Amino acid sequence: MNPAWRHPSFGAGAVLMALVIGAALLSLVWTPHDPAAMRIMARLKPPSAEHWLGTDQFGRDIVSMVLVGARNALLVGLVAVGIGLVFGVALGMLAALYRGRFIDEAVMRALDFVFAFPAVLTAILILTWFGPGLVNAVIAIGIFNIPVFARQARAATLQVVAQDYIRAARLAGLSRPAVMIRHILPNITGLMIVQGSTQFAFAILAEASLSYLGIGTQPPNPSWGRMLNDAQTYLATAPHLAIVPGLAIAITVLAFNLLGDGLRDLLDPRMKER
Amino acid sequence: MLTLRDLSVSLRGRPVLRNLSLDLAPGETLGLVGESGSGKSMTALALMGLLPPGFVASGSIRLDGTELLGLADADLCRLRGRAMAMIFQEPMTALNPVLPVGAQIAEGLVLHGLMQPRAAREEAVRLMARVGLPDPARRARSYPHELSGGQRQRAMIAMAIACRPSLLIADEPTSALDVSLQVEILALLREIREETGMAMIFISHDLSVISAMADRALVLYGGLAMETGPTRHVIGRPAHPYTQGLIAAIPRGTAHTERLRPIPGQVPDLVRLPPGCPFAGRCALGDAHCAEAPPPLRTGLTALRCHHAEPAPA
Amino acid sequence: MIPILEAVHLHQAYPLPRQGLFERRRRIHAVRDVSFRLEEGRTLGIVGESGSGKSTLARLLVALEKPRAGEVLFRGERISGLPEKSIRPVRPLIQMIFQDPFGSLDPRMRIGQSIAEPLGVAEPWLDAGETRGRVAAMLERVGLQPDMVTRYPHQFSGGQRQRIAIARALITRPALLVADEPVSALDVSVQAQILNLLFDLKLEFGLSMVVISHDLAVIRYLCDEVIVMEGGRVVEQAETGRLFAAPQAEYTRALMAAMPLLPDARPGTDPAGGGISPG
Repeated sequence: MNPAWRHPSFGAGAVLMALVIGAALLSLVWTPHDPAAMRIMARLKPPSAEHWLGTDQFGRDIVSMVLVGARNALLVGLVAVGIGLVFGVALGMLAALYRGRFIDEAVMRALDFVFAFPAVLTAILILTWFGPGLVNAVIAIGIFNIPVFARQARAATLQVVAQDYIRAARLAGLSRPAVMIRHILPNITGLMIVQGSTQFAFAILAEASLSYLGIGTQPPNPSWGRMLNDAQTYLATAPHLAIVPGLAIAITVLAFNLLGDGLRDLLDPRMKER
Repeated sequence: MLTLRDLSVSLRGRPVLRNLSLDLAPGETLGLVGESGSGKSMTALALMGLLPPGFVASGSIRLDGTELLGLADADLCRLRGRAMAMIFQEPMTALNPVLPVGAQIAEGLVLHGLMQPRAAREEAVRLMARVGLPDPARRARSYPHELSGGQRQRAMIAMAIACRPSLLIADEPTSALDVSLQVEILALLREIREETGMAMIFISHDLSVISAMADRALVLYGGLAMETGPTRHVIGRPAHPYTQGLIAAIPRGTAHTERLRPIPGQVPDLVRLPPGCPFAGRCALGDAHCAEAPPPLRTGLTALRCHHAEPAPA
Repeated sequence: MIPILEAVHLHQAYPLPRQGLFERRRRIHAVRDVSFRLEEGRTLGIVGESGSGKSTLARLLVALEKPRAGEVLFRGERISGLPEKSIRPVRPLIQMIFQDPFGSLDPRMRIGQSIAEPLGVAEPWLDAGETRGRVAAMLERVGLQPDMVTRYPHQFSGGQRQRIAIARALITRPALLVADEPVSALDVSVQAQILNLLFDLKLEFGLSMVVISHDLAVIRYLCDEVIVMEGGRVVEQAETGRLFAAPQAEYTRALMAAMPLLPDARPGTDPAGGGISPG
C-alpha cells in the first residue's frame, strides 16, 4: 500500500473528498429527480422512499439538489482558492524578496486596502456592478483570497530567505528566479496548502451568503449555501432542510482541512520514514 | 543528600539512560559531561520529574531522604523550585516573556508559601543585586527581552536560588554566552555555591567548563556512565577510551605541527543503542563482544565501564 | 604577488527600526574600516565575540552583501558592490560553509541534488553521468558513502551534514573558502574530524581560507594569521604564533584569559605553538 494512504488525516480526507467528488460526478449523469422540478403538492415533505431526504418548500428533491450542489461547491472552492493562491503567492514572494523597498510597500499596502473592506460587502458591490452570477461571484471571492495568501507567503518567504541554504544557493550562482523556484517555493508550499484548505471553507461559505442575497448562484442551479439560507424560515418545522446542506458543507470543508494537514506532512521529507 | 540508584529511562521499551547511580553531598558539585544524545539532559529532566510524555523512569532517586520516583505530581511540584531548582541554556525560552523579571523571581517565594507578596518583591530585588544585575530596583520591572543574554542568565539564577534549594541543576548554563560572560557566570555560580552550601549538578559538553566547576565528573555516552571520579583524575588521567578520545580531540596546537586525533564515527542515536557498550562502534579497543554485553564496572582512581580498559590503581 | 583576497576600508551598517515617526533613522555599524590582505594558500582567522561584526564581514567577503563603503578585491578584481550578474562568473571560485549544518542545506532537496547544484551553474556542459561521478567522488572525499546521494538532510547527523556542506562548497573547485564557525554547532568528538578534514582539503585543493570563530583553539589550529575584532573594528592583526605568544591588544588578552581551557591547553604553554607555517 502506498504510504500516503497510511497517513491518518490524509487517508480520512481522501475518503471524504472522494465522496464529494463522487457526488459531483454522479450528478452529471444521474439524480433521483430533476433538482429543478418544483411540485407544490409535495412541499416540505419529510424523508420517504420517494424522496430519501425529503423535499424543500418548493417540493424539490433534496438529494438531487445536494448532489448537483457538490459540483457547484467544488467549482467555487477550487477556482476561488486557485485565484488567491496563484496571485497571492506570487505577490507575497515578490514583496518578501524586495523587503523594505518600494515594491514591498506598494504591494502590501495595496493588499491591505483590499483586506480592509468587509469581504462579502465588497463582493456584493462588485456583483451589483458586474451583474450577478456564479462566475462573477467566484472571481470576487478569489480576489479577497489574494491578500490572505500574499501575507502568509510573504511571512513564510521571509523566514525561508533568512536560512543559510538560501545564502548557499546564491553562492552557487543561482539567479534570483532560480532561487525562488528551486528553494523558496517548495519550502513554503506546505503552509500555503494548509492555508488553502481554510480558504476553501471560507469560499464555500462566502458563496452561500452571496447566493442567499440572490447575487451568487442563480436559480434554478442549486447551491448548498442557498439551500441552507432558504431553510432558515423552516428551521422549526423542517430542520432537515438545513441539516442536509449544512452537513454537506461541513464534510467538504473537513475533507479539505484533513487533506491539507496530510499533504503538509507528506510533502515534508522530514516526515518520511527514515 | 541526593542518591541515584540504577536510574534508567526508556522510551517505548528502548533504554535511553541505563543504570545511573551516583551520590551527591551538600556543597558538592558533580559535572555531567556528554555530547548530544548522551542522556545528560534526560538525567536532569528525570531528576526534576519533567520527562517528556512517553519516557518512563525506573530505579531510585532519593533527595534528602524522599523517594522522588513515583511521587504524586502535586508533591513533586512542592519540591520543584523549593528543594531543587534548574537553570537552562536558553534563559530567553525559560523566562516568561510577558512578565517582569522581578515578578518571576518573587513568584516562587509566594507560591511555596515562604513570603507575602510584598516581602517577596523586596527579596527579588535583593536577589537581583546578589546575582550582579545593575540597578536591581529598576531592573525588576524590566521584561526579559529588555535584558542582555548575560543579564537574563543572571535573572534565571536569581529565580533558581530564590527558595534556597538544596540542589541546583545547571544544564549548559553558559553554552549560549560569549566566553567573557561565561567566565563571569561561572564565577557567580561558584560564589553562590559557597554561600548557600547547595549541591550542584553541572551539565556541559565542555570539558574545560566541567574542570572549572566540578569536584567530581561523570562522563555519559549513549545513556551509559562511561567513567566517573574526581574531576582532576577523570580529565587528567582518564582511563576509559571514550574519555581519552574526548580529551585528545580538543585542539591544542596548530594543524601544521600537530594533527588532531578525532574519535571516528558519529554520536549514536539515543533510541537505537546496542545492548552492550554504546561506544563499541567507535572505539579502538572495541570488538564484537563489546556491542553485545553491557560493560562491567571497574573501579580504581576512577570508576569506569569497559570490557577492556582498566582504571589506574587508586 | 596579487593577494587572493583583499579588503579595503570595508564598512557596513544596517538601519535600525525608526524610534519615532519624525526621528532620524539610526544605524548600527557592524563593520568599521576593516582592511587586510590574504595571500594565496594561507588561512586567515577572524575572531571575536558575538556582535563583533565577524559574520557580517564574512558575508561581505563572499559578496552576499554590498558594503556601505570600501571594497573587496578577489585576485585584484573588485567583487563588492557589483550587480549579481557581474559577480556570477567568480561565484564558483568563492565558497562558504556555515555554522548551522541544520540550516545550510535545503531540507526538501536530496543531498545529491544539493551538492550538484553549484556544478549545474558553474559547468552547465556536464551531462548527468559526469555530474553524478563528480558528486560521488566528492562525497567519498569528505568521508561519506556515494550511495547516500538520495537521502535528505534530516537523515544525517550534524557532523555528516557539515561534511555534505563542505562537499557542496568544494565541488566547483573554489580558490577561496570562507568558513563561518564551521564546528561550533558540532559535538566535541566530531569537531576534530571536521577540523582535520578542512585542513586536509585546504592542502589538497590549494585553498585559501578565511575561518571565523569565537573559539581561539580552533583559530590557532587552522589559521596562519588572525584578525581580532571588537565592535566592528579590527583591534589586532598578527601571525597566529605571535598573537598567541604575545597578544598586544587589551581585548585580545581579555579573550585569552577568558578561555576556560583545560590545564594543559592554555595558550603559551604549548611547546608546538608559535610555529608559523610557510604560506
